[in-house]
Amino acid sequence: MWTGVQWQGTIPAGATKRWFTWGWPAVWHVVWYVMPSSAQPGAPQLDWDVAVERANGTQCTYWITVTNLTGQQVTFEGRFAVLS
Amino acid sequence: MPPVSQQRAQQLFDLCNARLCCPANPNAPCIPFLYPDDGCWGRAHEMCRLMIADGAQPEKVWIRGGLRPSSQNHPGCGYPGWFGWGWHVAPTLQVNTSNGVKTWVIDPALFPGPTDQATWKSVQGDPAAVLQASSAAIFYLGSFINGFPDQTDPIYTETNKVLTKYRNELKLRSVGPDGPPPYFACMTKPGGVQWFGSLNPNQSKTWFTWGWGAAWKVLWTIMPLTPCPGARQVTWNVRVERANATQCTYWITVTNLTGEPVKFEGRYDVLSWT
Repeated sequence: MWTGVQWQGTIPAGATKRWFTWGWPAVWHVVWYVMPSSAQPGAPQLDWDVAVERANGTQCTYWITVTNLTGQQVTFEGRFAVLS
Repeated sequence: MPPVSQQRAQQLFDLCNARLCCPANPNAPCIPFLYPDDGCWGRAHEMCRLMIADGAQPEKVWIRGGLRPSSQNHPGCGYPGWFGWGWHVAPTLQVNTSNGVKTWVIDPALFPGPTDQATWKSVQGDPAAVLQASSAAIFYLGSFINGFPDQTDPIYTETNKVLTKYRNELKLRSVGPDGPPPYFACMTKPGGVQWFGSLNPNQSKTWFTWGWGAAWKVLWTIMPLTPCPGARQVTWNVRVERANATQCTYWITVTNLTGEPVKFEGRYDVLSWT
């Protein structure tokens, strides 16, 4: 397994935003998650879900939708792990 | 025809393959690569048009014989479920390789990338098949195929007719009982794939899989198998049931976000066995 940071994002208070990242080999098993960069203890800050598009026979595009659950802007890392 | 680099050949392949049709919604100007049954001469002429517009100088290679290709994009998979072709055509490029200048074929209906001409011929299942090169301007090499006159199509009128016909055939198949490609009967399940599934337009459906070690750390992901570039196709969520002291059952709900049928594979990865 290997991991990485695909992008750094900022999301306004209470907002939902979507990012996409293309050209991933479809044979890879990839999981996506986010990590807030700014500490704000006491409650969850971000929620996310992942959707995927098969662009062609060998490649796919991931669409990651991130929701800011707080009343303040949140900066975060969009992270991936290639499992196999 | 001046040779191009392998990188440029891949770029030109990608240029053509980016025009792939969504099977159940194949709108012009897409190219119906996922309908391998017929229409190669229209696809080839359109690919040449795209490559020429991008500054390349493709040619074409024609093949005639008892051709028996296999494709997971045909419900019959290959011979005898699918009888194949009497002839076929695809664009070619001269490519600089470590073994000198070679003829490579651009044929997304058969290969996921540019391929050398010998390999292209070999997968068509007839060692006695005959090859004939032509310029890109030849739309239909009748003199080679069946003794008819050769045809050109400089303003792409006939090309567009062929593409329209086979876009429609692709759509009819994809919204019919066979569903969109690929066809599971033609595929073997790779490692890490628990199941192949199909979803109707905008459908959500739940699958369960039981007997997993409760101590194992397992992640589930979904990968669409039906190509349709341009938008999200599927999303999913995972729930789990503790069946007994040592085992659990995963319940995976997959949602088709599109208005078209989608096939997919359900994948698992065990992050830890303890």
